[in-house]
Amino acid sequence: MIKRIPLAWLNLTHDRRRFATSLAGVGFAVLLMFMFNGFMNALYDSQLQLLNRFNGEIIIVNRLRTNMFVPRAFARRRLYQARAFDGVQDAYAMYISEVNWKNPETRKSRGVRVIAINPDEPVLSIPEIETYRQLLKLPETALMDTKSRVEVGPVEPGIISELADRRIRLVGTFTMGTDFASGNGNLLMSDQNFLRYFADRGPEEDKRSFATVDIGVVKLEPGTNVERMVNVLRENLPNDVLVMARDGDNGFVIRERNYWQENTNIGFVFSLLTSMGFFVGIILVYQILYTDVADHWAEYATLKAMGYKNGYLLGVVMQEAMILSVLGFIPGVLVSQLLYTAAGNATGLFFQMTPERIVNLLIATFIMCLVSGAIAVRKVQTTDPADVFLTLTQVLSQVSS
Amino acid sequence: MSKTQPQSTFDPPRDDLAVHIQHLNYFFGAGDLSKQVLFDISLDLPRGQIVILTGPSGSGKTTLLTLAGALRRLQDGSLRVLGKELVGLGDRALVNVRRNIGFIFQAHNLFESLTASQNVEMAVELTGNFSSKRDQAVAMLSALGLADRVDYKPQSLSGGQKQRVAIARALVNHPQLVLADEPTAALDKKSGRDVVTYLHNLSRQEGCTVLMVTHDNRILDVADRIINLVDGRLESDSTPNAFVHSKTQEAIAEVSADMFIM
Amino acid sequence: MKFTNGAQELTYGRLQDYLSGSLFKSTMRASDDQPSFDLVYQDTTLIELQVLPWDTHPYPDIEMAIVRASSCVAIGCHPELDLLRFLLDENRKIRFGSFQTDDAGTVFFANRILGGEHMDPTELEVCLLSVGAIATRYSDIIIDKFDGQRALNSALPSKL
Repeated sequence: MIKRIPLAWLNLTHDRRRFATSLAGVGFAVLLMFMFNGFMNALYDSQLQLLNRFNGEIIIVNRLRTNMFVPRAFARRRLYQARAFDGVQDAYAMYISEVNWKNPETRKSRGVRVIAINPDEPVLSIPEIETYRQLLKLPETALMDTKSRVEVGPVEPGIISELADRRIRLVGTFTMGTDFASGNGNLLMSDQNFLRYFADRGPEEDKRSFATVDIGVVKLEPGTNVERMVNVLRENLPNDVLVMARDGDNGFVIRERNYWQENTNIGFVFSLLTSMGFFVGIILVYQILYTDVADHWAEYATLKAMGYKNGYLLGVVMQEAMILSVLGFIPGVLVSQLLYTAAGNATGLFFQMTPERIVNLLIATFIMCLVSGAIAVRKVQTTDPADVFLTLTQVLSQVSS
Repeated sequence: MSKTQPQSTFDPPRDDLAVHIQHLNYFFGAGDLSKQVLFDISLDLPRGQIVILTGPSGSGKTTLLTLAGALRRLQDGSLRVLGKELVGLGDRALVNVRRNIGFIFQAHNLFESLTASQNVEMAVELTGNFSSKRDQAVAMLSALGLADRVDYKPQSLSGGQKQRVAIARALVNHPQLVLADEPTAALDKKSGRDVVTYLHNLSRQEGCTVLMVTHDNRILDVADRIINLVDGRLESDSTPNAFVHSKTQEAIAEVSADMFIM
Repeated sequence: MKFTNGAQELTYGRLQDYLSGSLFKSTMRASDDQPSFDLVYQDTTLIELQVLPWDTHPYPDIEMAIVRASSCVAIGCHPELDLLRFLLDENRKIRFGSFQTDDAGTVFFANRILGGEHMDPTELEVCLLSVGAIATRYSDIIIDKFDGQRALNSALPSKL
């Protein structure tokens, strides 16, 4: 075995209990970062649940609809106009609104989001629509999201309750997930039912009829270039509507996400909290490294007296920082995964641990440990080997005199 | 208050001297807080000599030891160690000089997380001998009577054994100069005697120079020379066994028994 | 040679140093197995020098040794009572050392000083000269007065 003695590793692991607590500390900081980051992303991702189920590559909305849930409608005529272009397979209409649902058990009303489509049109990629297609065509029927919050009450076919003070019957369920605008849950119904209930929602919303549409979902022929099509539609449709690709850097999904990021405090609050987690981590790791240096100060100074360069000692401290970051990350990730699932179940929000997010937080953990290491290292640099002589002799001379 | 002396005012380097000090002055602190701790020290230590440096606490003997060990920067005077002038050297060059010197501290300063052999190997790694470091370490530890403890960690070793490991670490690279600061202070009588006996033998066999700071009266006899430092100045410099030479030899007149009868 | 303690070893070394440079240097002999020396004073008197360890002494932190210089003055003297009275009377007058006897009736003159690191070279020399001078002078006196004989020229084991 012709290699250097791994002083960093041996120093860290020598005291097993201390090593375990160190890893727990790093893992905790990692956990904090994951949780806060996770909450933030969950809130954003949840907003996009619905969007991601749109069965189309291009979205048309009223230009004033700055986020998906602003109640502005546009003329259905635009959809007919869109259908005329080459490459467009179809253009579907969708209605959306926020209404009161009465919990059949508690009799309390809660806000839910209602989404309405023509059951015969494949507007949304929700398989349950297919299942309950015929039932949805009946009057006063709807499907309820099973991931709705507990406050909406029991979610089963056959439940009868009131929606906006009118009778409604659940004929089935589907799964989607809640977000800011959905309030406590999602309801899915046919457009005809929707217009019966919600043609006039009062001064806050545009009046609806079959002549208006809240959101237009445009499905393209397979193989059509989305960007080109977007430009074509933009050039040819009047300015009262906004045409965007659903996906992509300038797409609707990103736009929605940016809206929520910029217009709410979510981003700021959770980024702040995540940063706090990061700094907690820096402090924790610095403590650990500093304690190692301080406890072994005489030994390190002896190495310097033997002829080891400062660079070697810096290397040892940085190696310890790296080991802590990698090995502490693993338990942090694992526990975070568990907590994600738990939190998702509790809130109905969509907690997602993507490889990209794992890599990002791993890099953050690296940097966290590097920074702590760099600070701890300054302490090592100031270690004067000659002091090891003096301090000890001075102590001894105090004792003997 | 430090001035650089031009090298030409000092004697030329000599091969037979392990440590060659000329008119060395040393100050702690700078500016107004500057305090002089060594005054015009001049000293020649030949190769292979065992020298004990003694004196009251605060006399500067530990400082002199650290200077000889290239642990501090020097400005004033001339201090040549193993042929290398230390005055005026920068930190990086000083680090290189340290590699040729073996340090023995009063505390063993071993890494608790490393075995005895690994602690000694840390010293060998400095020379780059990675393939032979284990063998060298084991050989050195065996020479000090620790052959059966090479893979033990310090917590499983006695005080005397730990100090011997520290000594093995200091000597494994066969340095030409060994600097020891109170090496026996933490040891019982037997271990202390063993340690100095080993150093004595080493010095005789390998010709390495040993400079030791100590208050321990039990081991003074091992030295070829005892240097006394008081308040930063050389007070005396003698050989312990030639005690007659410290007294002037009185001339003896014709002795008669009447001198001893009242 | 085995030494009982470090002070004994140190004293032995110092004695050796002193003797090798003293007026005794030509006549001194060191024993092979005991820490002792023989030397001849003024060509006539044999002085035996021993280095003895001192185990029970007042200073618990240090080791001590004793240097004993002795010379055999006469053997076979009588009448015993008169001899002893004479020796004790003379002891009073002698500056350093005293007369001693053993079971066989041998008369010695001996002096002891503290060895070890506190041994003083001048005191050592005075001790030796005193033993030599007194033993030489009194040897004749005692042999005449008490009908004794000169001791053989060899080192006899002697007690403290």
